Amino acid sequence: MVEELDRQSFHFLALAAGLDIDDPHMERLYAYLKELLPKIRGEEEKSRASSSEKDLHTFIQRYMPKLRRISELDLAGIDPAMVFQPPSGRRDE
Amino acid sequence: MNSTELCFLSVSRLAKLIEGKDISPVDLVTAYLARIELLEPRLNSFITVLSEQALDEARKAEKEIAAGRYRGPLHGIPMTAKDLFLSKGVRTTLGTRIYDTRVPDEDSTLIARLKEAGAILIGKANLNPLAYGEIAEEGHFDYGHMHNPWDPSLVSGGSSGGSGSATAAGEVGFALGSDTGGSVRIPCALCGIVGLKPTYGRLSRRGMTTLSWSLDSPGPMTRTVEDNALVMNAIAGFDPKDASSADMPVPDYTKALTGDVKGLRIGMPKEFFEVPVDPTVKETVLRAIEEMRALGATVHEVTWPLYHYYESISTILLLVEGAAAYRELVCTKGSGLYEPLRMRLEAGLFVSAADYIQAQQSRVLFNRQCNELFTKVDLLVGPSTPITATKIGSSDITIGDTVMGVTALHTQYLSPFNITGLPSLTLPCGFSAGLPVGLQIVGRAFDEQTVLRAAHAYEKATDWHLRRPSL
Repeated sequence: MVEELDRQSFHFLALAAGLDIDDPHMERLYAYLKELLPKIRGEEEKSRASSSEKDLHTFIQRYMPKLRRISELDLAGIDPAMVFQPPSGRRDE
Repeated sequence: MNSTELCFLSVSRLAKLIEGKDISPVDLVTAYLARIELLEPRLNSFITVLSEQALDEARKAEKEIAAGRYRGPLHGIPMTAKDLFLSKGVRTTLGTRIYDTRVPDEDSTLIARLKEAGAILIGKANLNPLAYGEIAEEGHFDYGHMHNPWDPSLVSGGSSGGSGSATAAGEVGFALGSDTGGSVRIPCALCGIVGLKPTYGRLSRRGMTTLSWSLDSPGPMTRTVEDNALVMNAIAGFDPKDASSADMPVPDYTKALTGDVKGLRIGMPKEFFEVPVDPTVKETVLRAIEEMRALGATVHEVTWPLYHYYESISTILLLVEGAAAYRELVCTKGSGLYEPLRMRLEAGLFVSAADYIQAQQSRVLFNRQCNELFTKVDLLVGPSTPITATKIGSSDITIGDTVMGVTALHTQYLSPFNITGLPSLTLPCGFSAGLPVGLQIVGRAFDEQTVLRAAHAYEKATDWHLRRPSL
């Protein structure tokens, strides 16, 4: 898990994802992610919103006010809820 | 009967009139088109209205029926579909100008099945762009805001808002919507109609543009419970072209409508009242539950502690699956999207695979605990939304001391059942300050019959569904 998304990591990941890192919008996205990612991991107390990021901070708080930490749950031995299809072919062997 | 009264009739009543040749599909389409023309400047329910095509279809239906080839209760009934269901020869925009001129060359499975049943597509309904979010801010809607028929200064709810307002205002007989976190049930609750999100896999998703593979479900939006059952009869069933479609027997849903809830065990999760809810909505819903008790059901308080994790689970699933679904779009045409929507799509590209898998693991625990409730009760009930419709442009609302986003509130009771995949229905159960309040009824997997049965019994005992917005 990336604890803190620094600018270099952001650029690397954005490029890998296929986003245009030269788009001026990327600055807003970076600020948004610095708020959002700790929040969805239940690590919001680690979040440090600067004054320029305050509107995004407010936006995320308002839209996701009740997030709880998934990491609080005991997930040991739990298969994820995903569709697994067995390989096709003979099953009688 | 005047034209307005005709447009507000239930599908079941219209079907009898059409079958008995008391009205013709042409007259009916003409009446609905006139109403659309009258109301659209105030409601904006539609992105595309198919006047000529609908009249052509109505003339064909009229000939078929005259020749003794009546197909069933949807024959000749005008309907709309949220503009993310692919429609052959009719543009399908997903609510964004990016797809303004895209014309599919085939129908989605559900539109094809409705056409086969004789229903007439009268237009494609407005929606939140890409059906993502339910945000009410200015600037979000490429095709303009969708307005609530009970008060056009208020939202109709999203994301299937056009389908909701069109059905509630009598612009169509019924509608199709899609629901990833409440998008069928929110507009139905806010507009005072009946909306069903069936069990995941019950209805084909083929040709219903994906936002989240594991959360999306189509659903019928109707003015009565019986109409909902009629539409389900036409669209439910296995689709070999949809990998998520369940190969299960499909009952006749209308047979479940016995009007009787005697002996049904109804569970009310106490956690539903540990989150913000408007006191009048709470009171209205509790009164409706008491009414069900009076009708012969037994009511039990149940506890679902993991309910409180729904937002974390659904947020991660939706961020990641939405980003995957629209990755190419956001990478190549992102600047054409409303910025908060664009950022949410992009953000999902930065959530780790491990976080996504852990959300899917958490989902298993969440579902297991919910399913355990159904060993004690037959249905779960509670509010559909904790608030009634809000002003267009307002994104926050205060309940008690808490300021919350409207979207977060609208989804708090509904999104959990996209995670579980269980069938969930909303129907009107009262009014608060002149605005509809919705009651949510949830059942076991593939047991839409019991959900419809309870909803029908409640509807039969009350008259909320008979009230009409005075447009």
